[in-house]
Amino acid sequence: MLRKMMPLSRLAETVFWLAVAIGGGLLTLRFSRALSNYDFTSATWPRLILAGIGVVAVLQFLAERDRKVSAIAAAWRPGLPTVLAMVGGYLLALTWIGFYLATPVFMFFSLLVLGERRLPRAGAFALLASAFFFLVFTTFFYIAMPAGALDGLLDANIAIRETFLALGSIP
Amino acid sequence: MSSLELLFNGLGLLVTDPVALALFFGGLCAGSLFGAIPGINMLTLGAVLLPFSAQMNPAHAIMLYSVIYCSGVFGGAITAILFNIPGAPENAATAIDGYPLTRAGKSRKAVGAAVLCSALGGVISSLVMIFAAQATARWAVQAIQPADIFGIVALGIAIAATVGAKTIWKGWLSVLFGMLLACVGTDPIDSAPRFTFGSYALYAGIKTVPLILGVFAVVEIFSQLASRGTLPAVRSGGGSEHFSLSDLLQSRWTVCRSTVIGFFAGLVPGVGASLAAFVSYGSEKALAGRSGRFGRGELRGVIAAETANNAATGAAMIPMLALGLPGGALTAMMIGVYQLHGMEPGPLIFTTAPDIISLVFAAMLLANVGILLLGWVEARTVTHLVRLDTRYLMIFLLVISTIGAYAERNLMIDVWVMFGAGVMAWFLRESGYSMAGLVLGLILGRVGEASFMKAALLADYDVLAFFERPVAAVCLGLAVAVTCAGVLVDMLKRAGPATARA
Repeated sequence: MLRKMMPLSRLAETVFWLAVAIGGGLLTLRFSRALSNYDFTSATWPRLILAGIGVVAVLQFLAERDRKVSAIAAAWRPGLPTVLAMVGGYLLALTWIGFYLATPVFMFFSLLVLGERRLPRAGAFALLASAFFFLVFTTFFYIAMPAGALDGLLDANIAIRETFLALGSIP
Repeated sequence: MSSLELLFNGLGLLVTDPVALALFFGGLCAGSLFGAIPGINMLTLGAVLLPFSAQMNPAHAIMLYSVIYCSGVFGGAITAILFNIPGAPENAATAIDGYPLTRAGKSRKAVGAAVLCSALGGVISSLVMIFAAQATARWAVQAIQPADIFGIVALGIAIAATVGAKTIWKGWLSVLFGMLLACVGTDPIDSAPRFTFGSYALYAGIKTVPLILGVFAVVEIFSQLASRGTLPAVRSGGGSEHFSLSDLLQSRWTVCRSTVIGFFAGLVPGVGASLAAFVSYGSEKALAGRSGRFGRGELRGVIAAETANNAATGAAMIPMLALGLPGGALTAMMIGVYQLHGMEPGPLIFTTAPDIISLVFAAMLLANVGILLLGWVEARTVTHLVRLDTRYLMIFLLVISTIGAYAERNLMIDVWVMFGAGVMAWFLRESGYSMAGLVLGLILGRVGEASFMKAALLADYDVLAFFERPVAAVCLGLAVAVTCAGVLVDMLKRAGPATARA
């Protein structure tokens, strides 16, 4: 079954690059306007690159006909969907729940998902590391991280942020 | 200011400025630490620190990166020798003979050789850089025109495409994809928006910081977390035999040859320290013939690899400082540091910001001397380093990377770009594409387009006129030759197994 899928994956790799080249080429039609005092257009350079991608993709396909291992199949790892879901969840949480509340929770649960069974250790790490981030980046570097978008949580994030910002003004 | 004056000025600045000193020692230790821990390397550290360098004085920021460069290249040598775990690709060649030496009870000798020869190679290379960089910049101001810059960029792109990826085709696709990403934003001549999809955030182009964080830091984090960060079991070697002065004298020609190989490998854009170490190791092995014990515990193998990789660091700084052209991923990040501070690296930096150059000269020289101290400390602490639970480390780095991507413009889109780049880089890297090639494509693509546009305008759109300029002609000719050689080598590699099967 896997042997049958391999040529498809190799073909998929070539199709991907050709799609980039053709799709990109079509997009250049939208900004291919003549530049003032200039014979080339703003699309000349991107088109050269896109043509290069198309040519190299075809040459790669022809040159690697006898390749045994599929590139895309080789890239897959069983743990990858979990990691991607974890990180994707964190990004959404940053937007909605806010950095100051989402970060300790994310760190704690990520460690559990990754197989850590010592809960006090994971909890202590999440709290201490978060405090370190808030202190270094908010108190000392004045970086105001996202405060979220949900009403009650927004206020809580802002309160934490203001507390850490105020620490910086203590003489 | 002469080169010597710049060096002494830099030494004065470094020792009298507590912040610079703190960053120097911080960079020395952190570079070595990241170089030693398997799975992450100095590029991960450089990527994570990049957004925060905007908060620093530009001279301090560039100096920090140059120190990380020196200590990061050395960092993985000791883990390579003691545990057969090269912390970074630069030290992979060191493990080939270093670990067999440990198993033979000669770990002290191997570690001593690695420390001393790394320092020697680095110091010699830094000294040459100090005297050559300014002269190169002076020559560049008088002699270099846009067509020449385009030629040098083309050569850098051709080399970056030929090395680093699994095949030459993947190398070219990596570089071309980076160059395509560099087109997002506005046209360098007429500011026409390209590939912006109506988003104002994309008018400024793909920001270098989130992309670098994605392809170097996030991809490593994904890689370690997806494989649950399991490291090989730690084994320690014993031994009481030290690397003596007579050993060094016996290996003097190996040191000399490796320094020269490393220096020239570092000088050429796109080659870098990893390849320098392998080329040097390979040449020593070829010279030794059947008389050597290469692969089974030959001290010259360790010396060749470690001298060459550190000799490449000073050389790689010359095109970066004198021409503003990065030779590798870390020097590309240095270009990013310049841009974060609103500066354009290149020959004029020597007159507009001599303090930066002074500090870099002094810091690189001292960092290479500092390797002697680092080696002593690292050999005693490294057993604990490789036992770190990578799950904790990776989660910690993931949050720092997120803060870093967000901090530059306070926009969540940059965080999404970073993770998008990380996911894309995962598949590309695991499929054999070169991430260093992609980043070099991004940086060199911008320089290449601007110089191509200017040169075409000056040549009245006669592209063949580029070949009338000697530097451009030589570089373009070499670029074609490198590409043809790469294709030929690829075909021969492919034909080898086929012939064997027949």
